[in-house]
Amino acid sequence: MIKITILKSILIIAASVLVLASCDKIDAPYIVPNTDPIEPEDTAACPVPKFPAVTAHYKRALIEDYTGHTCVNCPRAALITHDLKDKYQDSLVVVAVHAGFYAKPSTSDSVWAYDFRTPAGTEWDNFFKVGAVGNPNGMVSRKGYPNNQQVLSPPSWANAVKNTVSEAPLMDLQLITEYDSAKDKLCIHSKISFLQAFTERTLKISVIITEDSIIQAQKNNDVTVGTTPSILNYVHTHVMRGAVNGIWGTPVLLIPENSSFAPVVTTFQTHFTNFNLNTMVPKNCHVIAFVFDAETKEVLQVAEVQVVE
Amino acid sequence: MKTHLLTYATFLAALICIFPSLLQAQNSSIGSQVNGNFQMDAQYYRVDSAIGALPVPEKMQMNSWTNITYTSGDFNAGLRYETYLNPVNGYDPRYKGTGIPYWFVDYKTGKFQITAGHIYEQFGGGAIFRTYEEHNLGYDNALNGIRVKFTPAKGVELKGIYGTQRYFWDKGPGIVRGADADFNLKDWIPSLENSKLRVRIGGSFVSKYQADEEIYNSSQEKLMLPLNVAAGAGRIDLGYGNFGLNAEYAQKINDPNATNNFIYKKGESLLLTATYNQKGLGIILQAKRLDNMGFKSKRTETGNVLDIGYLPAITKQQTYTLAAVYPYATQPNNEMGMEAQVNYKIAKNTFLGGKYGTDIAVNFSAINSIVKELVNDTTLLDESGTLGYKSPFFKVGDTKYFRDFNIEIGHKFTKSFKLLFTYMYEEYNTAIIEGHIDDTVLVHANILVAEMTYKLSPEKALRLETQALLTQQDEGNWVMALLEYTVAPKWFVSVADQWNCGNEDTEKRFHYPLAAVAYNNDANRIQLSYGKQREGIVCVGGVCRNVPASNGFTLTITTSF
Repeated sequence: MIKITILKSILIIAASVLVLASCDKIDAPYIVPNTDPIEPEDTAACPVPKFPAVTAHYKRALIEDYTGHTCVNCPRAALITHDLKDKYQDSLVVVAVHAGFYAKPSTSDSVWAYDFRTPAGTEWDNFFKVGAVGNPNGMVSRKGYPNNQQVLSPPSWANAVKNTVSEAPLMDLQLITEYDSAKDKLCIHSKISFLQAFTERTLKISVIITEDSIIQAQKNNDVTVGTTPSILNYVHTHVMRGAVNGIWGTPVLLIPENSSFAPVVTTFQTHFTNFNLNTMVPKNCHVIAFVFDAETKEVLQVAEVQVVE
Repeated sequence: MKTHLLTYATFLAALICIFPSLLQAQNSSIGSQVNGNFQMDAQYYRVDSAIGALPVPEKMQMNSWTNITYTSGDFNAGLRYETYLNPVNGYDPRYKGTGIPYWFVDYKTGKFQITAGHIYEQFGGGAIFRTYEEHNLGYDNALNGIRVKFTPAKGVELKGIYGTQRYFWDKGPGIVRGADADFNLKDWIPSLENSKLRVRIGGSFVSKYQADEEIYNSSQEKLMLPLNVAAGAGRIDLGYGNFGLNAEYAQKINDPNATNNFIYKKGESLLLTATYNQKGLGIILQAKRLDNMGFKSKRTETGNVLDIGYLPAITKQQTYTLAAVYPYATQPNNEMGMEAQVNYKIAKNTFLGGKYGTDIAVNFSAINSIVKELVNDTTLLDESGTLGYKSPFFKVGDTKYFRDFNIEIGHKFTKSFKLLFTYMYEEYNTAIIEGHIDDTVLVHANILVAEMTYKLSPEKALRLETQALLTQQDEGNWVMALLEYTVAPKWFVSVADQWNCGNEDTEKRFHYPLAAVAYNNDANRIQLSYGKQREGIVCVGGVCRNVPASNGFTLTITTSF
């Protein structure tokens, strides 16, 4: 009887240890360098240009297509984004975020060894749990996040885009880029012009770079899209290459009640080599900026321009 | 969320108010009962980069649920509290949260039974309607609405349901309505009353409504969507002496959806089951055809949620670890298959039966595709916005999905020693079942299992499982051994190890050890285990997700009262 009691106690103690073991003991140093540094705004290096006046304000939608080169069902989803982009033109911005299991490069086969993953894309995928739900899936303007309803299947993107672009815009967002190929320097200027007042809402702006026309192999199981089981010369589009101002962007401003509607102009400077992707072709690249609510993560406005016109 | 809280609060307040008055209203001899059960699975994770066990920021994750049911005569009410903070490895992350997703009230009065709240129900075999929950698989498609059961006469049961389905912590967008009628002819035809013949027939009808939405066929074309999708099914259950025959046929009208690539073809399913039973012998034969029968209450859904119909696999559910490495998953839109199972007991005191008899079970299942033919010369197979394909009903397709031949022999040698031997040959189509295409599409595997149980005393037993999975494809050969010591009814200890000894990549020949100890006390059980779990891939409806490997402790507590 005593032995049994001891065994029971051991089991209960072991269970308690399991709970108590869930702690993080941090040893000094308590302050470490930021591994995701953001270059300070440098208007001397990048003089702010004059933004043209905007006469028509409309809300644009952002599709984030979470994908991977070994995901056999993903080319069909990419086709949906192409159709939607054709239909909505400038009202829709598309990003193909290569992240998660199906974006991992192969270590044994050179055809699948390329890596489109980015630190920001991986972090977003972990945070929004898109890959954990499955690929292909995505988000439209990151709506539904606080309620765990942000992950949308590709066929439902169309309706979500339609609903998003029909909303009244809360702000206008303009982008101007200047690329100096000799210095490999890219200046990105954004201007947010508020059309409505917010109340105590923290806004952030994220700036990322995408690239089109990258030819690399892609797994595929849909004969209507291409050869199966692989399309060796698949043309990847909207591939996210990196985040310019950090994984979670930079604060816009905290707007007090009865804001004065003053426009906010922000300038970022970056270099293509910053992304450690020297193969990027500037003329195939786009800069995308989106303003989002820091708490709900909802993307309130998005804009896209080519790096080189 | 506020609305949910208000709903729960109102419901609980109503229960608190209603229960005492019901108790008073009931005949005191009927009495009342409260029953419940609880389960908690908590996992503590360690990083193991070798097997691919990634860091888990919260270190520990937990799933738990508590069911409470109140019964008083013909009145029932219940609820289930669930908490997933955060969902354990392998569960859909959309379960994250805490709340009461399930509650119901139910009463019988005369020939009526009324249920309001969340309902689990099935029409016939479930081909066009079944709601159920399976916690261990993370599945729950409960119908939130009403159910009316009406029994106008003996042998007749009519059922009607109306509601929406559970979608994690929310409801699906589609409204599901349906009715079912079941007739037991033995109660209707006097000549059958004393006959060996048993006849039961039934029919059901289900309709799903979902509001219109934008589904584009191209940038210039959008699909005309049916807002109401109907399905009907008929069934017959015949029995004569030891023979039984069951058939269920279902049909669904055009239902363009994400799982069928938005084609407009009608769907069909047929399941035939024949059985024969006598002492020492049981035979089951099954045949199935599924053609475009994925039926969900959200047309753009691709995940393992919101299913209206239930289409079970007609393959043997394997329980041994290595035998379950390649499990078949029903392909609701495209499969044709058969299964045969024979159970035979060689009698005691015979040459082969020995002193205690020998049990033999032979099982074979084969699943292929259906045949798909072009609708016309200008339409591709499965092209969205078209009829998709034509399919001759009785033709079996060429694509092999799954084969399983297995034989299980159980023999008790002495009063205290029993041996169970299993041999299994499997062919498994990774492209179809797992949705990923590698160089090898079809895995061929031979699996051997020997299970020996030795009773040391009436309370104490030792059980040893040795298993081997032999294949030249996928991850190559696996072996496993498990030793279990039970001191009935309180204690249970086991140690096991799986070893991927035949992996082509010698650096990936990992061991996956597992040790567990459990203590039972009446209806309460606490189990603590430590081990490594392999990574896996789950594919449903054209969406695949990776379940990462894990390494850590699992604490499971179950109780009931």
